Amino acid sequence: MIVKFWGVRGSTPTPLSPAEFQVKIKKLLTLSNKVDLSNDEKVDNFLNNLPLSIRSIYGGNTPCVSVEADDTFIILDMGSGARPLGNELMQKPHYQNGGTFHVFLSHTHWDHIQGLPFFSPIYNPKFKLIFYSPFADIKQRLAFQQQEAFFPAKLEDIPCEKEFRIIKDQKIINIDDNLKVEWKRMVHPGDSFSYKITHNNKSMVYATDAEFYKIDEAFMEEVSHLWKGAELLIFDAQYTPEEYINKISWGHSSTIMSVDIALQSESKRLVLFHHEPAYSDELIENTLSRAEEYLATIAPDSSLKIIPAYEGLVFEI
Amino acid sequence: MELRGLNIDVSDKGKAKIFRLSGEIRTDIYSDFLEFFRTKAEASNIILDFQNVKYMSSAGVGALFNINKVANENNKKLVIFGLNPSVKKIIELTKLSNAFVITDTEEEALKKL
Ligand SMILES: [Zn+2]
Ligand SMILES: [Zn+2]
Repeated sequence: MIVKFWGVRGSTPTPLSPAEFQVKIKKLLTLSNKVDLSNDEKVDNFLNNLPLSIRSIYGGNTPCVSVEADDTFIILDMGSGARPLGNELMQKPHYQNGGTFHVFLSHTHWDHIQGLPFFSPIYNPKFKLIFYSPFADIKQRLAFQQQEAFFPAKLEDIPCEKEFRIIKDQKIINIDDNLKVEWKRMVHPGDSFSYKITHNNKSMVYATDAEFYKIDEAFMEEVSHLWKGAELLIFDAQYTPEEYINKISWGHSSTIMSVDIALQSESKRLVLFHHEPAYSDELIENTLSRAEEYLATIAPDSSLKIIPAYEGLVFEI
Repeated sequence: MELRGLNIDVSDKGKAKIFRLSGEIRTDIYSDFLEFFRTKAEASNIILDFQNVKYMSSAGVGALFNINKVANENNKKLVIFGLNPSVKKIIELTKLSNAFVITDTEEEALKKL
């Protein structure tokens, strides 16, 4: 499986402001003082050794993650990150004659569906989108955001082929012989669903907009059992712990809680996802250090890796 | 009594009840732990003896934070003492250590009431 991140920000798209951009440039120039940058290679070398917060950005697009497994293409959520994903897919020789995309939406809060009208393959009849959701009214929900008052093209009028599969009574969805998807309801206002994708006996979990609050033993046991040994756990880590405590029941978890869940489920890699829009890139890195320190304190022998999600991040599983 | 791998012994001491905890405060204990102490924090000052707590996850810190809130709302106090270095570190990493009254010894804890 190839897992790629197209949108990692929670709640609302968050472009870098001009002031933030200038701060980055200034830092970069200050750090480059007296560094030998006389050729391309030296410049690349210098840049590659800097923290991501200085040399680049984590990104402001809202959730969208693609998963490619052999010939199957899965899209997890269609936040504003679905726009660059669609553009890239349209460029690929493989899709010149169209193709099918399997779309699993965690839920229908704006930040998880707002990219759909801007996903360019939908304007081409050669493409097909299959939406899977435990929500029985998923079609109406998606059609709603494309009503005339909100968007010029109605969902029913867009040329691509669309199919809606309601999976509320189906815990395991076999997409092909060696690719299956399992879902689990998360604690989130209005509900949200996590998805576990297993391909050739290796699995990854996408659990965003998930608040692990008031969790009892039964829920925890079910989750740890289902997610056990995941190669990759993409988890809602929107808040710092101290901010979380003031936002209990808002439907998101904290970075440190996500470490607890990764340990409990014996996941191999934890991807901190759905970054809070108010957080700067520096704060994301600072929160990562605290999560790593927490891990070292609570489970010194653990080999868990913690990675903050950024646009363009790729895993091969 | 026993709560998911955590033993709790209670005794009265002056103006407070002392709960001596031993074992682990894991993530799945959160709801039970909070419920158990919520009613106690409404009724009296609480001292938590952490000397024999070997492990506490961030969920434990969240529960303590909420118990402390209940105590404050009822004009009661929550004091914690005897944290081992790793449990102390966990509380520090959540940046919530200022939210609690934490002391090293039982004597100091009693003075904070
Ligand atoms: Zn969201
Ligand atoms: Zn949401």
